[in-house]
Amino acid sequence: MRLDKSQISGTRFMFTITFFLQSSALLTAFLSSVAQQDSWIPVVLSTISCMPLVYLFRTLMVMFPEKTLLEMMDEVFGPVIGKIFGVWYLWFFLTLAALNLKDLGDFAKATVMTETPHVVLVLLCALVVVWAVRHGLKVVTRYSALFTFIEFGIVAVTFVLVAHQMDFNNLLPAFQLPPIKYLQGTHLMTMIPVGELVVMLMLTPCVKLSRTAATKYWFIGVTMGMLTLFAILVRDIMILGNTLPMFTLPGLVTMRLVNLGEALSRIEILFAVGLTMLLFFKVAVLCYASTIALAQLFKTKSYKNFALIIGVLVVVYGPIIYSSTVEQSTSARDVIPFFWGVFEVWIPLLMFIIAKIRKLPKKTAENPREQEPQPPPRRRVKEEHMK
Amino acid sequence: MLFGYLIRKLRFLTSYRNIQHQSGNSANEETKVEKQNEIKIQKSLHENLKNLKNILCDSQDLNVHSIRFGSESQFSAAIVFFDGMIDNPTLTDGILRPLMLWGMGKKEDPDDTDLLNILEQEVVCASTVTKEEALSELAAGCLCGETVLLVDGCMGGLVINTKGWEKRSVTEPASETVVRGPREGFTENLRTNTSLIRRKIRNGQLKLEQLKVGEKTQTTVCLMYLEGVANPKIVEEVQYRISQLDVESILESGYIEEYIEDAPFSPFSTVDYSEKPDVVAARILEGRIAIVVDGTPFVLTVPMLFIESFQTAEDYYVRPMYASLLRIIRFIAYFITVFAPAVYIALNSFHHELIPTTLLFTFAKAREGTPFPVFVEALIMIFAFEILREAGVRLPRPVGQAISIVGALIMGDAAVSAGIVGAPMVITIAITAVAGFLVPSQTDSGSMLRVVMMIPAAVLGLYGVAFGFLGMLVHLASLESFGVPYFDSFSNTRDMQDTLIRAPLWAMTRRPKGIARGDMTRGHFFIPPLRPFASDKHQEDDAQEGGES
Repeated sequence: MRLDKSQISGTRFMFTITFFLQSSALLTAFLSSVAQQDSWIPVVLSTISCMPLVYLFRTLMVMFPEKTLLEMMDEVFGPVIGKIFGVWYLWFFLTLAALNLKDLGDFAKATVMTETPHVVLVLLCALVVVWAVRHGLKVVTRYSALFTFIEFGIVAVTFVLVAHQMDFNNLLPAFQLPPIKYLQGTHLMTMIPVGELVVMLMLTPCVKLSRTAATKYWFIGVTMGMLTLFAILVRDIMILGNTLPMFTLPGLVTMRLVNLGEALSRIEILFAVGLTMLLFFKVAVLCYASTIALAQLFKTKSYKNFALIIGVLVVVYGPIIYSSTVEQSTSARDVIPFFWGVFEVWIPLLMFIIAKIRKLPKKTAENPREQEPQPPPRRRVKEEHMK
Repeated sequence: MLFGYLIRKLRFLTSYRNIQHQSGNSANEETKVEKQNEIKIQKSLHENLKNLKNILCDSQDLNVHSIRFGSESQFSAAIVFFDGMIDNPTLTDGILRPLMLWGMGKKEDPDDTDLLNILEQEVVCASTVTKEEALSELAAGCLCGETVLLVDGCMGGLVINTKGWEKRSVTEPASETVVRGPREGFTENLRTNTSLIRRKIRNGQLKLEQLKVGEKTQTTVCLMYLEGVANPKIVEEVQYRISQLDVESILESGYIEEYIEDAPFSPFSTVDYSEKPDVVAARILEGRIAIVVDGTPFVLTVPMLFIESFQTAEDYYVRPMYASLLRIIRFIAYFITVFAPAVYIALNSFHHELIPTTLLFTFAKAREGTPFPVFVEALIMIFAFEILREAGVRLPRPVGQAISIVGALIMGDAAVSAGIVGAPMVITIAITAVAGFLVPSQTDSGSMLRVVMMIPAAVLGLYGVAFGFLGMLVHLASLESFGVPYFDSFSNTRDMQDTLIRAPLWAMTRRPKGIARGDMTRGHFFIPPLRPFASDKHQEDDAQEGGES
């Protein structure tokens, strides 16, 4: 049973992936605290190391084209274990959404609205997110391409504007850290931005992709996202050098340095615009996934009324996860990558292996996506009227 | 969301009530139908005339003219028409004169059964003549401005087309004026309007469908579209929505618009309209469907995309670079008209650090003497402007000047010098108001949204404005017009040829993707040569000349 009837095109799905990755790009403090001025190396390494993971997601998507992640688990693990895992995943999506929303609220509170209560800032965003989620995936992902290009534009423009302040010596000394740090950084990058793409499996039924198209869009999407990340990190390192790990938002500091005569200065507003857009989009996708997950756990026919519930949960859950920012960044560096691994790697991998052993999916010998798609049964009633 | 819920409940209630109503009244209705059927046409002319007058309530403007004709004036007949609805010369030349002159040299007279056929085919000179046997049809003919001919002894009557009434001639439309481009506009007459469109598109594919809507007004509504280009699903949808209408009256195309639009509670209209035949023809050529309503010069076109509000007819008549520039200006203007007051409020109440210092001093100086918070100040000014605008539209023209003087001097200058509002606020509202007129079909949405956007700005500053903007984008993305996403052209890379910029005509070879089906190409892509009429010979000449010099 499909809850959301909307269909999105493959290109839009690709940009959704890219944008999802880009939204992690502006919050790279936890990475630079591990790998210092060599932060760009883990990005390159993780781009390579994440490919099997991406291939796993893509394979699951092709194997069960009409099912969301929760339905896949129901089929593979059986209804009882599937449901238990489903509840875990719901919690996982909710936590991710809450954390990202909290990040947005923290940013706004730190930079523009210092005296406004955190919850008010977060509530406004949550309301708009809920509104978008109620309209379905079509609306949630509508602006992915537009936002991606805006983000590309912002990165390119700032790159040019700070070019004269860049110093290649800031990249030195390279490859001097103990190897374990690179490993840790790579693991971090693979788990936190890329691994979170497991949420895309919740969108599967709404995306019509053939086998080759799925491969193409997944890999191009991930590559574009990682390229943006790489560009941003290199820019920040070359500008800030050793001071990079000191800042929670290096991107903001970099943009603050832009000063071309009288005309172009104080463009950190661009950073704010980008961050708001990115986090809004990410929270919307995550909330959408949680809403669908909740609706499927309760086997309801419509998901729309759950959107508000998820929105409220996300708003109240965010502030109570961590007691302080320090705790959050420590946990993001030391605990989260291993813990998230369960959801992002091990359960999907287990699912893939069991599905192969049980020879699932059974009925569809050929890929149903390549069969002729049925015309949507829209307007059936009205046509009868016309006759 | 709330509205949707309420409407669902209301719809359920009304349908429930209707079902009860129908089951209670079904017996009643049957008798009514029988009663109508009772009045049948009879042989006697006298009876027929009496019944016809009865149906038409013996109205005073119903003209009944009894005549006798035939070689020995042996047939008596009557012509019935409404005064003022018919064209007198046609009546005289097409009906009366041939009837009077007919049968002068004839030897034998036709019998009663043949008489009507002979009259229809041989005698009456009019573009359409139909034979009707039901009195209700005859009455309907009279009401449309046709003339009814009843002959004694015949079971039936002739309905002869003599329509002709006073109508406005084709003039330049008041709402859409152009510097360059055709100046003709639609009129209140349906036939004139459809002929104006057909004169633009002389192609057999241009299809016209007529429907009658409105129980009392019996308004004719025409759908016009290009068969094979327009999406058949959308055509079917439009037909369905209009044919389902169970309303009493349609007086203007706004009635139709309100009944068939997709999002009645959105500030954005999802049905577009125009007063110019060239605009409507261009839209039909893109695969849209025009809805022409009798009695109004405003022709509706569906489906509408958001981008349509920013495209004007003149964009396509001037050269593409300038047209693109104008279009970008229009986008900025719409942005200004929605967000300028909100941003001004946000800057003034929250983000002083974002304003350059010298400007900040100016603002502070202006704010010093004003008593109200900046939000209230903005509300006052917007309110005053809306009052002035409405007054300017409704007032008779000679008084209009007084309004502009009052507006300019008292509202602007005096309000500032009296210290009620600050001068920067007056400037902000003025630019907001003027910018709104650049995009005429979104003026209404703009003036509503700017007030809505001021609220988050007053509460949460630029952060609030940003989420107001995102909310607006979400709303726009959720809208659909007849199954076509309203905001589609911005996320569809292929339709970009005609959104932010207006590509040269020779590069716009495809119709918009969401709207048209079937025949998608408009023509072949070609890059015009630098000198299109320079033949080889001339080029040689040029080369020689170049060589000489």
